[in-house]
Amino acid sequence: MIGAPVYLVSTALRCSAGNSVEDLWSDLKEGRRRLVEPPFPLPDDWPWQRAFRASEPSADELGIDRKQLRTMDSQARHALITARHAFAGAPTSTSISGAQIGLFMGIPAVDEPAPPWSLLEAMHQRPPCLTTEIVLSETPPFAGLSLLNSSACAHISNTLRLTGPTAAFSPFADAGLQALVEGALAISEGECEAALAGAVAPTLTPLRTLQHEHHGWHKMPTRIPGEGAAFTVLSRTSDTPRPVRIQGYARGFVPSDRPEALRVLLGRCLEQAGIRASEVGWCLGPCSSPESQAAFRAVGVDLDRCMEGACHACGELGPAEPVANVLLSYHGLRRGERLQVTAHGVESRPLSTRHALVTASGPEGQYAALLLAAGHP
Amino acid sequence: MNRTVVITGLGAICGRATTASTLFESLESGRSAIRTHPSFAQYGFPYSGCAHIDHELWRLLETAYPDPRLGPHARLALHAAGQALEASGFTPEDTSRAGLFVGSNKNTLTEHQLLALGRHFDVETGRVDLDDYLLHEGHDSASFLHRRQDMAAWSVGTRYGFRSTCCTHGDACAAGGIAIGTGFRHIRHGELDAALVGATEAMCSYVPMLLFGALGALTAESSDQPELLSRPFDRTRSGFVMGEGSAFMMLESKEHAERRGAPILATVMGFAKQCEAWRMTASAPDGSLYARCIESALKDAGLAPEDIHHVNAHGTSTPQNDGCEAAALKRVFGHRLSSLPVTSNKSALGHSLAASGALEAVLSVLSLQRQTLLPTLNFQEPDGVTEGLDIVRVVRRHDMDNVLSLSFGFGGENCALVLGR
Repeated sequence: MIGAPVYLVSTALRCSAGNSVEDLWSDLKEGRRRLVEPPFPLPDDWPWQRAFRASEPSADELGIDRKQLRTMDSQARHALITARHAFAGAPTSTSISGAQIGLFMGIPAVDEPAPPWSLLEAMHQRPPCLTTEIVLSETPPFAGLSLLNSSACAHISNTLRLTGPTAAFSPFADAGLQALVEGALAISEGECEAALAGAVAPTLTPLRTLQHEHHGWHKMPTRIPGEGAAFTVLSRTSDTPRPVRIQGYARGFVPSDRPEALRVLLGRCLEQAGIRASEVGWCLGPCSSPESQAAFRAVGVDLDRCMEGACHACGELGPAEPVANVLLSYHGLRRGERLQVTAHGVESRPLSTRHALVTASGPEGQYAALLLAAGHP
Repeated sequence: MNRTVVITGLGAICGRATTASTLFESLESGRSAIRTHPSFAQYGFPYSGCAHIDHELWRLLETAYPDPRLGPHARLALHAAGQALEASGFTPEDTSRAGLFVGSNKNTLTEHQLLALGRHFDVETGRVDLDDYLLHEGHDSASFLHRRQDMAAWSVGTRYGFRSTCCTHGDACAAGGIAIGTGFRHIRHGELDAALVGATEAMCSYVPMLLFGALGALTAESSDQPELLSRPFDRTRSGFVMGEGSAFMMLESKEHAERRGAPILATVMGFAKQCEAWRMTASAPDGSLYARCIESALKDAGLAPEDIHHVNAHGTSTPQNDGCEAAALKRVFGHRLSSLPVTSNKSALGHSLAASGALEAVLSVLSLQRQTLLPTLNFQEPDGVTEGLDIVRVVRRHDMDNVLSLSFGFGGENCALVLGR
């Protein structure tokens, strides 16, 4: 349980829609989908041949030298640039020492720096061969770092000089919300004063398409592969006029009996936040499956206020997707506005309550819910 | 709320040992799990010594856990987790507030998958022809699951019925310790009554060993005596030796364990996890950042340095880590260091990355229970930095109440656990 208020004091997003939450909000509202050709051909039987790509940051943008850039995979670069923007926007980044700032991150494992294309090319031209000489000559010297998910964390902590508590959560979709919950708990329990928390999407690689095929996502328009990252800075204090804080959460693993288990988890989240379901003004996350809808109905959340969220405009982002939805909620709660999917597309509506719920659900049963509230307790 | 958190069950698999007790006894008798891998020579592989699981044991694990979605790391986890649960007598029906925290790193393509992918690379377009690959390679759509690091948590949670908080920690070499510490924190502050915590790793395979070798982290020595390759804290240490395995422990609030009459093996006293912000592949050579993590864990446990009676070190056998760790121990323990026994299990088990912290925590619990210190194999002579440490060379009886178990990850994710009787 989060014993003391924990506020979101800064946010940053990078995805196909652009480099801010406002860009994503705008694309969602206008129904824009910036699909482009991926770096490899998608299987012929997929209903679409394009994907959502985020722009690659340069070494200058990242604030690192080119030597360090060579030690990073694409996933780590997206994470660093987004974390850097979130951190720069937080008042705590200058007033609190690095030892009092934690780093909590959700990172998927699909990114595959090895084998590089050049290795595959070498192996293709000299079949059937797998010699250590070829592999070593075609493999970047720092590829081993990408075997460790925490390398992406390390690039962030090194660049921003963060030396507080840390944890890297690995996949699946719920990992992003796990990172936010653990960051909030670390602040609440006095481990740190602030925490940079967020997640990055898996990079577009041929291996990711195998994952989408396995889950049947290749036939779902909201599961088109996307790239991006989403971060927020959590803090014990906020002096903005309309602050947004984490008021409750629930986490679970529900591989079976899902409607009932989801109902229990959603109920636990609302109970911890001390609010009724009718007070949830906007709900972002998986809500189209019969089991999700049954769970929402059972606890009394208005389905008209539910939408899947970021994926409509920037695709499937793995653990970064629920964090992007947290940022949309933050934006909406501060503006008093929400988005709603209607027969005519996505429309803007007044957000009539002070609460938003974000859920994340992994295909194997991982589940997390986070309740955000506008204002001080 | 600050509740006492106790350990009520242990499980482990590593090298040829398939239980926590046999693993402890194997180390106690001075046996090393490091030997020559039978498959690597055909590829001209320079790093053939590792603490791998034998082919026969893999076959037994595949028979015991035949689900094709399970990769090697998940099968190891199921084995060790099942043991810990059985030993503790815990079932998730005992409480709905039982979490699962599993450390595991990313897995890679096998050399066979790599060869298969290479055959379908289109040189003209510079792309992998996925359709061709899927059509001709008999691709098993579940095989990508073998590489996903959360499959261990998924398989353990599904098989043993954990339905509450379920986390996969991907914190490099500190993941095992951080998984244990996170479960401990959640029980201590009251969110959970119990947690199955541990880690798993299966990296004694071609691609990861080659990549860590390219980083310069593995010892490049070739030897017809592979058991001599891992020499933590020794003057001649030259890099780590890869290991693999899994270890789990059952944690419960003391009240919960007592209520159901569970065996109480030890207590988790304190925990700290920190990032360093130093360098990607090196830590502060003066040991100050490791020391800060150790001091935070001691503070969390409410203990002073003199309350620690044994250190189960990270001790990777790399010149950098062991030097930084020795410097950190000197900073924290000062003049007491000469009478504070330090051991590194990696001398016999190699470095199983995420799993290492969990394996060493399990062995630390057994050391506490049996009041026995395990030897650091191959330690002959210190260098200027490691001089002054009481490195345990042969098995030793020792009175101890509290053990410090350390894990330091690549990129600077550090973890310290304090375990008590």
